[in-house]
Amino acid sequence: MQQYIARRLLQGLFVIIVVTLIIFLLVHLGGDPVRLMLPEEAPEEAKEALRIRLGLDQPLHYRYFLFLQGLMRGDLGDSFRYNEPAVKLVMERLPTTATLAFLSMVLSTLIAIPLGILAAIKRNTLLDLFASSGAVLGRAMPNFWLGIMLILFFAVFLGVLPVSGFDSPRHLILPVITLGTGMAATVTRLVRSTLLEVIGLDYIRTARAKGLSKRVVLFKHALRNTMIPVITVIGLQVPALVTGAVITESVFAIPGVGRLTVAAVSRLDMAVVQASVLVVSIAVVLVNIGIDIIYTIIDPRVRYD
Amino acid sequence: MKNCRVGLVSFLMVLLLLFSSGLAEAQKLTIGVPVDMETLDIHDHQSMVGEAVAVNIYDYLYFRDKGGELQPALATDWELIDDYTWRFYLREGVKFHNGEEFNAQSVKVTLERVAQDSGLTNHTHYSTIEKVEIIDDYTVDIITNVPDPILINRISRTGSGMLPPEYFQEVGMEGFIQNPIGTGPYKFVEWQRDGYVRLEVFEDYWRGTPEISEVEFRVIPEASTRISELLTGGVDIALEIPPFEKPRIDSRDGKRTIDSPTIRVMLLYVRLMEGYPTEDLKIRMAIDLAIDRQLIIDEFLEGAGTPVRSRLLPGAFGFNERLYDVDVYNPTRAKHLLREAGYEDGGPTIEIMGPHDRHAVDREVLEAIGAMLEEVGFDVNLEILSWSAVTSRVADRDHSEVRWANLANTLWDGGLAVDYLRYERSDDVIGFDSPEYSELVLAAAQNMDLEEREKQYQKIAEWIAEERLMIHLFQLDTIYGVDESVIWEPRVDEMIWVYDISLDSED
Repeated sequence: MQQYIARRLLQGLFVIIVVTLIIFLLVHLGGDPVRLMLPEEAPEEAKEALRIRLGLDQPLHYRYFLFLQGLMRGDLGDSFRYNEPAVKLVMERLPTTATLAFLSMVLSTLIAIPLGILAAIKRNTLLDLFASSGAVLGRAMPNFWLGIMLILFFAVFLGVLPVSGFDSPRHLILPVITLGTGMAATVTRLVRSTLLEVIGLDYIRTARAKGLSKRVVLFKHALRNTMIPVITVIGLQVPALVTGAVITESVFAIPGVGRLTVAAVSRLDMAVVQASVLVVSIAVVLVNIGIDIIYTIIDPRVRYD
Repeated sequence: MKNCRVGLVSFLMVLLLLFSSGLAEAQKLTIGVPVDMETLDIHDHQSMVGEAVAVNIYDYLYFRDKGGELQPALATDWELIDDYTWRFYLREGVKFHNGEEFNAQSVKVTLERVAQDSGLTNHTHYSTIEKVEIIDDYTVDIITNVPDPILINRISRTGSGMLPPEYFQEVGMEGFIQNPIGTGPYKFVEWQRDGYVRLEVFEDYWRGTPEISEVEFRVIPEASTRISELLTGGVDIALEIPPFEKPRIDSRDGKRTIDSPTIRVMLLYVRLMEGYPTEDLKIRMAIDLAIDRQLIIDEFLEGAGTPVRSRLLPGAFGFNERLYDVDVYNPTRAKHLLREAGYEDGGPTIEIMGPHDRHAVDREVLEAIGAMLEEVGFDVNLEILSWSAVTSRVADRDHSEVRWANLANTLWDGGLAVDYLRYERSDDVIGFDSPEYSELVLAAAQNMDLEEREKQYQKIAEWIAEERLMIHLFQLDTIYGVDESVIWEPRVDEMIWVYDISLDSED
C-alpha cells in the first residue's frame, strides 16, 4: 500500500512538473504584460523601464532557469499586479475556493446518489421522468445563467438570501447550488444508468434466486459495483468544479482562486497564473490518488500492484 | 405632582437616549465597484478604480473640484519662479493619520520617489521633475528638467498623494502598503483582495470631519450582481451600470441612476501609411461622415454620451468648443466622397478591430459602426477580440486600418491627447509623417505662455478633426446606480470622493 502511494505520488509529481513547464511556456509566450499595464500612448522608455523591473528583458531560457530555481524554494515570483508573492496570493484564496468546491461536491453527491438510485429502481415512472429531465436541465443550464437566476429569485424577488459575498453560511447557499447543480446532474444520470446495467447482471439474478431481500441485493451487491464508475466521475469533476468556480466566484463576488486566475490570465500576470495552476494541479493529482485508494475499499478485487 | 415629575424625568431620559443613539449611529456607505485596486502603492498603479478609492486616503497639493477645476488642497498657493521652478506654499496644521505633521519633507519624499524610479507605472507622468528643494517647512520649489507648463496637472492626480516621510522611511514601501497612511478624510482599515477595502473617518481631517463615518468599497465584478446588491440594499452606490440596465434600476422605488460625463472618449485610430485605404483623406472623411453618433448614443448608450470631434473635453487645457457636442453625420456626402476616391461600385474593404470587453456595449457599437459604413458603400470586416488580444496585435503592429479605442485623459491636458500622433512616436502604428505637426506639438508641450499654448492645442485639435488623423466618436458618460438616500453629485474624473457624499437619514 505504501509503495503504491509512493509510486502514485511520484507519477503525480511528474505530471505537475510537466504542467508547470507547459504553463510557463504558454504564459511567457503569450505576450508582453507591460502592454496591458501601461497605456499604448505611454513612451517607449517607460515601457522598457517597466520590462526591466519585471525581469522581462531577460531571455526566455534564463527566466525558465529562475522559475525552476524559485520552484525549488516554493517561490514562484511576485505578482505584477499586486507586487506580492504569487504563492501567498493563491494560498490566501485557496480555503475559499476549496470550501466552495467541497460543499458543492457534498451537496451534489447527497442529491445525486439517492436520486439516481430512485430513478433506477422506479424506472419509467413519473419519478424517473422527473429525475432524468432534471438531470438534463441541470447539465444544460450554464453556471453563469443559473447563478444570476438564483440571485434574482431568492435574493431580489423573495429577499430570503444575500446576493453576493462570502461572509456567512447563508452566503454559501446560492453559490454552492450554482456550482453543484451541473455535477449533481452528471452523477444522477450515471448512477441511474450504471445501476440499471448492474441490476441486469447474472450475479444479481443469482443473489435474488438465493432468496435475498431486494434491499440487501440493492445496497450490498448492486450499489457497490455501481459506485466504482461514479467515484471515478466524482474525482474527474474536481477540475470541473475548479473551472466552474471561476464563473461562480465572479457572479457571487467571492474572492477565490478562480477569480484570481482569470484576472491573472487576462492581465498576463505570469507568476499568479503559474502559482494557481500549480496549486490546482496538486489538488487534482491528490484527489485522483485518493480515489484510487477508495477503489480498493469499495472493490476488494482492485489490488495495489 | 410626584408622578408628573417622574413622568417628566422619564420623558427627558428617553429623549436623551434617542438623541445620543442618533449621535452614536455611524453612517456607513457601501459602494459596489467592478474591479479591485491593484496596489496601495499610489505610484505604481494605473487603475481608475484604484485612484477612486485612494483619493479618500491621500491628499494632493491641488485637487480638482466636481467640474474639473483645480482648487488648492495641501498647497494653498503657487507661483512660477522661472520656467523650471515652481514654488508651492503648503498648508500648515495638516496631520497624517498617524499624527505626523505634513510639511515640505513630505512633498520631497513623495515626488522624488516617483520622479526618480523609472520602474514605477506612474513615473512617466512625473519624469519632468528633477528634484524638490525645501525652502522652509512649508515652502518647496519643484525644479523641472524641461519647461513643464502642466506640472500643476501632474501634482493633482494619482501618483502625487502625499506620503508621511518619517513613517515611510521607517517601514519602507512594503510595510507602508500593509498599513498606508495619508492626510485624506478616511483612514485605511482593511483590504481583502478581490473582496473589499474598508475605510473609517479621520476625525482630524483638515477640511473638517466628513459626514460618512465608515466606507466599504466592495468588489463585485458582475454588473448584474452589482445591480442586485443595489436593489436589495447591499450597496448604496453601484458603479459602471451597463446602459441597457438603466430601466431596471429607475423603475424601482427608492433607487435611481445618475449619468455623469467622464474624461473618456471613444474613438477610431486610423492608419495613415501607404498601403492602407485610410491613407486617403476622402476615405477617412467618408468613415467619419457615415457614423451616426447620436443614434449610437441614443440606442446603445441610453443617451449616456456626447458626440465629439476631439479628445479635449470641457475642463481640459486646449478644449475647443467647436469640436464638442457636434455630430457631422452626413451619409450622402460620405457616398459622394467614396465615389470621388474612385470607388464607384462600392468598397473599399475596411477592417475594423476592437475589443468586446472594455465597455458594456463595445460589441454592439462596433457592429453598428460596421453596418453604418456598409450603408454608404464600404465593405466592412469586423474583428472583435479580447482586450488582451487587441493589445497584443497592436504591439506586434499586426492590426487593421481602423481600430476602436476608449481613452481617458487623466492629465487634463492637450499634450497627452495629441502627442502620440507625432511620427516619432507612432510611425509604424499611425504613420502621420508631418514634421510641421511634430514641431507644433513639441512647441506646445513646453510653452510656458499659457495663452499661446491654449491656442496651439486648439489649432492641433482642429487639424486632427479636419484631417481625420483620428476619428473621435463620443465622450462616454458613466452610469451610477444609487439608493435614494445618497446625496451625491458624481465627479467628471470618476473619483469617488466620499467627503462630498452624505446620506439622507429620513430615507
